Amino acid sequence: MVTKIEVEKVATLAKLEFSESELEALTGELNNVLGYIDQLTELDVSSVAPLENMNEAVEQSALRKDEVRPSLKVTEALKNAPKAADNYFLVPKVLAQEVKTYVEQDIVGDEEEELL
Amino acid sequence: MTQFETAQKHNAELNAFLEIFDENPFPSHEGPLSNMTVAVKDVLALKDARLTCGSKFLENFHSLYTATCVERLIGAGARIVGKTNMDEFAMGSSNENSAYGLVKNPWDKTRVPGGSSGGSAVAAAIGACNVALGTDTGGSIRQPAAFCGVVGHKPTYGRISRYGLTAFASSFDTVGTFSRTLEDAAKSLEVMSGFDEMDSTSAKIDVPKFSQALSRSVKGLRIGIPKEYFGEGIEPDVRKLIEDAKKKLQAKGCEIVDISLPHTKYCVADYYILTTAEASSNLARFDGIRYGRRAIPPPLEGGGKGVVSLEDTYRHSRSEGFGREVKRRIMLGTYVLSAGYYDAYYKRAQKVRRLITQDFIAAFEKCDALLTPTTPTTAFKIGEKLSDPLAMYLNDIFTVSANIAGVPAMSVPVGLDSTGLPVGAQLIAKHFDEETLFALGKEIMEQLPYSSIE
Repeated sequence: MVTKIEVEKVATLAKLEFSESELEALTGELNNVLGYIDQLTELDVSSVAPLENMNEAVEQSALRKDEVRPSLKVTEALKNAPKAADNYFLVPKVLAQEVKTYVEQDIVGDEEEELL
Repeated sequence: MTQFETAQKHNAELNAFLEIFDENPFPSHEGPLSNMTVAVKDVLALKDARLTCGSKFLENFHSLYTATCVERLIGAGARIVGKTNMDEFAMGSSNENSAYGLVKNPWDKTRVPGGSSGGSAVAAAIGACNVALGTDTGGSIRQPAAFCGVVGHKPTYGRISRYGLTAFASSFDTVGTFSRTLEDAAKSLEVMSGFDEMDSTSAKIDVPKFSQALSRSVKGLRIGIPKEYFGEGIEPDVRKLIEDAKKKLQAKGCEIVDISLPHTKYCVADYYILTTAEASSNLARFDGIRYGRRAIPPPLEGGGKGVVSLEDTYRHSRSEGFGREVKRRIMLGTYVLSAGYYDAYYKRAQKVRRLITQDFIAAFEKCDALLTPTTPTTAFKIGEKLSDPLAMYLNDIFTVSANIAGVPAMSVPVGLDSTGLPVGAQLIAKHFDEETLFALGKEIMEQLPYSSIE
């Protein structure tokens, strides 16, 4: 079961915002789907290797020669920018940057420590 | 009437196209496809044309380059008719999630065409093109093909380059085709297939002459009938028409084999964990900075310009630009990837993915292809499943497994049900054995009365 507060924290991670009523609805919907996907816990997967590469059997050529090749021109790359000037993307001033410390504590905290 | 005119004529009512090119703006080349017209799902890039992915976020985005598959078709002489409507970022099974309005099923306009490639399915069905390109992450070609009565082919993962395809779930996404005929599906596949250095997951493997497989004998082929795909919930007419297809194959000398894919019941759950995780990561690029929608800060009370942080810009832009279903999936994906849940959900799902794939490998030791219904039911009513995301997800129950395992699969029209709605049969083959799909498809396909929907 996820709570509304947890859903709010996930929204912060996902850089999304929701109204109170949207959060209520989303919490219900996510619980519904999570309840369904929980059936995977029925399986014993302790001796199964995760499948990460879809073409294990086919020759891979992931790396090409590391050489300089033509790429997008700056003017092209800026064509779709909402705001641009002088060969740069324009962004709002980085003011009032909120630091969502509670997210790090509650969701990432423990794992991060293990990694260290 | 030209195909461009057919596309125009129906669009006000069916909404299959987001853009129809009046005069084909692309130079047409002499080549093997010079008589072919192609509609392109609006998730694939075509240089200088709009690329919306069915989203408000990309309302004004214009592609800077052309997707490899589209470029190869144009290079072979095909003409591009237009860009087709779709569920936003290819997330949906009904085409009701498009920011540009829903698409209607030409066989019954109160029903959905399926999704996410609903516009492409309709374009092919009404004869607005010979081939419509779609993408299939969990059934997004095969399900709408079944609902709209056309051939829908999802080749093997890696057969066609994904360069220029806006990513939803990169280890599932596959480019494929809709067409009235198997010949057009085969000819376009021959052109699009093969290694592309712009996609490291495109396979370095020979491209057969798929069209030659259409005259191949199917005598002696072993057809597996997976019992898990014939349980409850299948409409009687669907069941009967699949049964008829099976009998046709038997009459042509195929051997019918009972098969089990024991992990089938876990497919939809596995699919939703892995694809939402990949989607939450892929869609992180839509931040309102370099392209796409950027939210404008609301004015301050009493006048004056509002001041926003960069963080606010990300959040406002994404929240305004994405539709409900896309946000729902980003949320689920972010949740299953978040530390503390990663092993319990994501990693476990990757392990289950191997079990499901092994089911297929084991099955293909006993048979050459599988035959199943593409969907348990025919096209459902507009609005019918909108309020219940899980019910919508379960509509993909027979199609997601081929994407989980990366094997090729095809939906072939096998007739109309008693109310006049199309039914599709699904054929699934081994990795890189699309030829068997074409050979078998030819034997079970039924000619539908397309003139009634033109």
